[in-house]
Amino acid sequence: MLETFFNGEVLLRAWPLLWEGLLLTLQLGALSIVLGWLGGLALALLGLYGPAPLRALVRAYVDVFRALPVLVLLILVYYALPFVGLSLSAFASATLALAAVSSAYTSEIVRAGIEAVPHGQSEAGRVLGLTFPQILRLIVLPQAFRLVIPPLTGNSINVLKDTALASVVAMPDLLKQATQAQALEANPTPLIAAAGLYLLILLPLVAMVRRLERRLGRPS
Amino acid sequence: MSAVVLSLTGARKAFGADELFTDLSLTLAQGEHLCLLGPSGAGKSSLLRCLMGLEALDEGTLTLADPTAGLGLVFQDFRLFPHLDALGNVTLALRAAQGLGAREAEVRARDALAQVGLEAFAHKKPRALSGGQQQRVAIARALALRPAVLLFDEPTSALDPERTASLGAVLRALTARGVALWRCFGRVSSPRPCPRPVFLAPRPRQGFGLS
Repeated sequence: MLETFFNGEVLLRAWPLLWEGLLLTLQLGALSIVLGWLGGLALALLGLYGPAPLRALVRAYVDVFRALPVLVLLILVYYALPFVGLSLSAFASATLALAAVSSAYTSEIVRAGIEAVPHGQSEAGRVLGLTFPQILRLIVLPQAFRLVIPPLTGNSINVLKDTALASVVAMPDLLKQATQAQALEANPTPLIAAAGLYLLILLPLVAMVRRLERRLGRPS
Repeated sequence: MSAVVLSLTGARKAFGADELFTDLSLTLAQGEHLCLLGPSGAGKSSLLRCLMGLEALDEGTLTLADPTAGLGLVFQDFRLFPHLDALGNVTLALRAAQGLGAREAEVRARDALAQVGLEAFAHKKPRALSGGQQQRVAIARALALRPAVLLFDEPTSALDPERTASLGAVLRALTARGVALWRCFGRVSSPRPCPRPVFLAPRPRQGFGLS
């Protein structure tokens, strides 16, 4: 049993591959998360304050990318886009798919955060002579960000988990390296190790969300 | 007789067929302390919003003697910025709207906080302050922009004696320095001190009396 699932020798041999995979997973996750934040913020602002046609476009984008499974989108980007002359690497395809979906969710989270800031706060800014961009930047967004940190962290956890889908388009991420090592060694230890590594990264984040939510739930 | 700093002539505001006030004229002199009284719904808050430019008057004009010294407003619910400490609440507009540098803004903000007796609370967040202290931060925030007139939408809740006393001292110091005060109360009995009470009676019919 121990020999099969927790084989030290196998783990030692597979470790360099797993480590490479882990680094790639973290790179893909970090890049997709940051792009998702930036895209989501831009979408939220356009969806709230942009001209009417743009607002409708944002709504359509958000609905479509929240409805589309990430895996389907990823396969479309990687296998279908080349037919229109756009060939992206596995890493670029995965980043694009993850960030596109994440920005849709992020924009909904940020929009809700902005709408949760009382309108009186904006009026207080107007009365003090601030311009609309100043009110947004100095009064509304700082308060909104505080509200959206827990849901935004939760969404980032989902993005990090979804990076494992990139192994489907042959990107050598943590999961892909683990399955390859498992095939090579004919032993499941690398898979167990990969699962352990995912938990090692994600459990602290999950705990952090719980802490943040508890703190925010407390009446101030 | 002090110089007139604000004059409102022929002001009218209506929501649809509901006329809140009409042909309302009023002047305010330097250092004057005016109390606008009237039951809720008489249009006091709406008038303040019109004066501050948050809403437009349907008719009438507002003239300020010195266009560079405008109006400051202390909201009924204060509307302090909860993510900033008292000093940050006061410096925000000095920096963003008036373009002062960080140091100059802080000097002016600390001076404004000192005028309302809160220099020791500069680094307290609004939620760590009592209701009376919050109102005084709101006064400092408006005061730092050096307005000619400070408008107050006074809270409807009963005032505790401590708050009334400290606020009274702050207001007396302000009028002594020439700032005109225009305070709105949601009641008809005259608060003290109130050198110049004005009554705004609710419409419709018979208008409102100005005394």
